[in-house]
Amino acid sequence: MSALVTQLFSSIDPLEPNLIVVPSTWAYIETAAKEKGERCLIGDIKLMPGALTPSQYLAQCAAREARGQIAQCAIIFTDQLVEPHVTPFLVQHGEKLEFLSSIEVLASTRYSVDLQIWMGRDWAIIPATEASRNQLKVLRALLDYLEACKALGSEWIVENRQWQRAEQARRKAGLARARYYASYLMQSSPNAPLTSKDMGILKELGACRAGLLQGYKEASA
Amino acid sequence: MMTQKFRAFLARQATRISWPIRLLHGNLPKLDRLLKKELTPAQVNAVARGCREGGERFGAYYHWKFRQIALLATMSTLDRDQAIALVTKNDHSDYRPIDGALADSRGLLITIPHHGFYLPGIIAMSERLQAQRDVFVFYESPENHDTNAIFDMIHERVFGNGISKVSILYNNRIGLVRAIRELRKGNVVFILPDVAKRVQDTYRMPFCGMQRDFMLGSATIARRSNARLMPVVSQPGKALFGFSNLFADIVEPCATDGTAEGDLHADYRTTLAVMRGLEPLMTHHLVFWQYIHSYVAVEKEMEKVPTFDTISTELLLKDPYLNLLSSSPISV
Repeated sequence: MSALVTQLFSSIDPLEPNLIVVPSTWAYIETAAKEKGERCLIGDIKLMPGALTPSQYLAQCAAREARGQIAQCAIIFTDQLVEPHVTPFLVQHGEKLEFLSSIEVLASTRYSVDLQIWMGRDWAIIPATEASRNQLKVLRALLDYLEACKALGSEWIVENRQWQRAEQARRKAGLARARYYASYLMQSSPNAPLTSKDMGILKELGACRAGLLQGYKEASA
Repeated sequence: MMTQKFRAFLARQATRISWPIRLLHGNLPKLDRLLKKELTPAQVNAVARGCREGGERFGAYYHWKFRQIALLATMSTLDRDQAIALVTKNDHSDYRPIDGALADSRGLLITIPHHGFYLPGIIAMSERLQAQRDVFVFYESPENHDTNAIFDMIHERVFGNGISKVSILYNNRIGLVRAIRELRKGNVVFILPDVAKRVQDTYRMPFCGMQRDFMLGSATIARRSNARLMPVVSQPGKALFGFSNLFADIVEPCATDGTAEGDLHADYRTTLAVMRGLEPLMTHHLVFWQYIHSYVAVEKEMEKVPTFDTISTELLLKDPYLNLLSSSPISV
């Protein structure tokens, strides 16, 4: 597999603005780190020390644009991106509701980056012009990419974090956070009433909690 | 009844001769299964930690479970007089704090955690208190929590004679309204503050060196009835069923500005004060706490929470986990 991955990376011009979406297997991660050349890596720094976060890459694109340069080619491990700040798109497909990352849509529509998305046996190539016209096509391709990742079985090293994409899982995590935050806020003033500012925050946390709880109950019913 | 008495006798004897089990350093999964409480690795760590804090080995946890089983087996065979005799003989409490508390005519909400011999502890206090006040014990109905059926049964045996002034209130709307009404009348209610139906209804506070989830219900009841709270722990003694009810200082419900958030924070502060009262009585005896195995699970959750003592509280609201409602699904 490693040879195939090497071949793939060498076939894509590192000076062209491409976002190459690949799965998280050790073969891809190790080869990407070794063969990246002029490209940058985007993903989880715990798995790939030195990798950029999506927001760092987008900031870099903006800085290059300001200097009149095109975006840097990047290899992105989209399957590593599961947390809310990097996966804001709630996508409904069939009966499933899942959160997907936004960097692919943003990079292609805002910074004219072409997308090359791994699909298992072949690749989906979505030029920036097409992504700008049809953003749903990018989201569909990302869903197919995640399906192809599933087929990797035990080679797919981030399978155990994918549950965080589910809307209900995120709601549950949100409920826990609202509860912790309210608790810690109240704990910060154990012997006297809260300031009016913190009282307002407590009220908003309560509203968040109530909304999340209602949605959680409805989805569980 | 004979079979039950024989089983209770066996349970007591087994507990007495199994003392050496206290020397065990780790858990025995087969024994866990026998006790109908299989422990996850995280729970094993939690129990071990609780035992260590009291200077005990893991086996102390098992020996304590045997004592509990022996007590329940014995209690369920006794009539009122025998039960009161057993409790009285084993009770080494100093009741001056509770007698002093009764000098105030307001209601008294006794918060007693699932720790040690809380059942004989409640029986001993109820027996004493019913001479002066009506007494109510508030807990989850057996319908919702089937292991509580034994509490109903023991109450029927000990206080079910028609002249007793000790009654049960179940944790439901009717029970809550009644608890508040009785406290307003100056009566006494027992409540177990360390249990929750759903974790979503709890709030987190420091307790025995960690952050732990507690309901604020006791504080809410006290605030709404203007009752005082008395934290109590029923600490086991050296004898098989020996115990002492230990009392923390009385807690007054915190004042509120009347807003929903004001009520919430007042109840939080009151609960925190109750837990601070219980803490020194429990910290080095956590092996006797029914929820000792829940420690690590709570700590693991804590790891996911960003620390915010160095950031502005307004940033809390910007956490994307809280803003799920703003996301409308995109159909693909």
